[in-house]
Amino acid sequence: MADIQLKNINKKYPNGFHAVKDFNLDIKDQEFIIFVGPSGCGKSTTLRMIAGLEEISSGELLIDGKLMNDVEPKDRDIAMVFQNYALYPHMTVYDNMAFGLKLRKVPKDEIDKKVREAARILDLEKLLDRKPKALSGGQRQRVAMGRAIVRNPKVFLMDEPLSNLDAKLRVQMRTEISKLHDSLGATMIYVTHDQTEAMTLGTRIVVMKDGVVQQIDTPANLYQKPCNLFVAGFIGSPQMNFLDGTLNADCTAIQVNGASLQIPPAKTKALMEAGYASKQVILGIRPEDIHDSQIFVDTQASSVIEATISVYELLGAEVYLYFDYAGTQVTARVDPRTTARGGDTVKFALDMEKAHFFDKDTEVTIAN
Amino acid sequence: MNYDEKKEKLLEQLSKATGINFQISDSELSDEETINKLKEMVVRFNVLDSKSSFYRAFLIKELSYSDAAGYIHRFHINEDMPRMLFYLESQGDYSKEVVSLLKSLLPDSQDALVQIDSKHIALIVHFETIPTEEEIIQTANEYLDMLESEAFISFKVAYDLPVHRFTDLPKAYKDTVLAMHIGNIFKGTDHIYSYSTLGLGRLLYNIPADEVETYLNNHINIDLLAGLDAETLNLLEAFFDNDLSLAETSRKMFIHRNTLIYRLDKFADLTGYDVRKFSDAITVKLSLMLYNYIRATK
Repeated sequence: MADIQLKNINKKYPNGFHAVKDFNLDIKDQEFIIFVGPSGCGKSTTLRMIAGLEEISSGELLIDGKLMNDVEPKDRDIAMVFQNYALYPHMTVYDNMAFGLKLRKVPKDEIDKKVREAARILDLEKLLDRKPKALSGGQRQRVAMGRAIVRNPKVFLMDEPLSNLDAKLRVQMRTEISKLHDSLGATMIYVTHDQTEAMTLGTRIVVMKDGVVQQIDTPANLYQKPCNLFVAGFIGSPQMNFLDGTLNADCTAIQVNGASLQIPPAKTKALMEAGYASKQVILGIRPEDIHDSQIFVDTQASSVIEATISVYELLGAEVYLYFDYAGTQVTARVDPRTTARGGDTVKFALDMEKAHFFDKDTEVTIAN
Repeated sequence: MNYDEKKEKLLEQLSKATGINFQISDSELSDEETINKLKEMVVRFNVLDSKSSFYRAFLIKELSYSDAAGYIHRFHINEDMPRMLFYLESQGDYSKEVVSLLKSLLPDSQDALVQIDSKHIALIVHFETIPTEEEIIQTANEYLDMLESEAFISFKVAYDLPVHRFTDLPKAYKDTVLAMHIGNIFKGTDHIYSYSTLGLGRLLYNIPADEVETYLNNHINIDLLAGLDAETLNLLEAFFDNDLSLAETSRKMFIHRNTLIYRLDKFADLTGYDVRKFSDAITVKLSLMLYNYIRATK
């Protein structure tokens, strides 16, 4: 059992760099929490403060209600898995997993029990006698995880553990980690810069930027209801398109590059209530909400734009069409049966029910 | 401690290392010379003890190459093979567990772990072929990640280029120690420093502090630099790292291009420097580095 609470956590380095600002989060027992954000956003620093590898400048860290700020890392009952897993080259898989426990003078039979149990969970039983050189990248990563599992910790902290693996193996290991979380029933905190990893693994995701938490929510909510322009742009691949536009006096339409796009009543209401009538805003629209099929163009005639395709990309199950509109590069994700090709001038219908509106100055969401 | 006490202490150490009781009589040497001679003897006798103490004395130049030759032969050290020297610095004092863990990563007799003091360890690691920069960084990262996940202790690591001859190790050691020092000043939040990529830091480090302050006050005022928030500093760093490209920086920072332009304009209004211009970008980059230097040295 491990509930974790971070209360007003700050990290300020001696050179004045404020890496993490007023971080607040309650993590429930057995939750799988993801910290995600671009490089330098403070996600690893926060994880390292939980681990005790970085001092907390101010604020409180509690594990199961106990204040941990001054507790030694080794006494926090945590285990860590990192991107760079150094295995002892002259030791077998068994010894690699057992070594940390041996150093801590754990009885031999207990070590044996723990190592074999971890090997069973990770499907490493047949590899216990092998040396690291004889293992594949994925198997090595599993041994590194095994070293964490044998500690039987309350909390697993993982910092970009899959970043060194190739794309195929990363997808495979992602599933393994998800299964591992289910079978161990431990609390897990996982740091990644990869939003796909975040979306597929986490029960909740913490999106960070410049040391500040932007939004804490479920993957679905982050995607559908981003709280600001940054989250909207960061979550989703290809990323959301952003177009500058001006609302009309009753917020029923937005003018973008000469085209008038009709806004659905619910969003109109939100925009009016927030006082944006006749104001400039940023319109956000995801690539999959831009359609080139004739049916859409016909039925959504009030939200059609016309553009010349600059690049056509066939990915198999879908096609990306890139075009410039209002000085911005826009991406549309369309059906692979599309007849549109590079150089064609095409009509696109925007699904305005799915549109997002952001304040031009603060970049905060006005309507989702 | 006066000269007599120092001599007494060194004689004690010498007796401990050799099992022989020494006395000083009718010496023509001055007190200082006697102490230096005794120190030299202590080192020489101590290095006989272990490979690790030999490496230590050799790295910190307490032992000349001619004195080292015998030990190189005795410890079967292959002199001509590519080696890397990794200089590790821990946040607090490291434990015995750290030494055990690191030794387990270096099972080859051509590798060595040298405990410099309670916070610093030098790892001398041989490679079959000259390692690439990528391999070196990967190895350094492995040491750090392993120590953090197994021993729960945070280290930093500095390294220089690979050495081809054993005799080059003392210079590599000197450079890595300097890399750690300069890295801590200019790249304090990083964990890995390479001597060869310290870049401007290596140059700026040699400028006297008063000249640095004069430069800053002639360009961007120190108080103004101190007042910059982390968001602006991050943005400027990202803009420099992405070769002053608005498109690339906004893409990497996940911000709208117009937002980036707005923030750069704001910085230009505040400081008078528009970092979209190459000459202004150089001034700001230099000023930020010098400001860090001033802060660290104060």
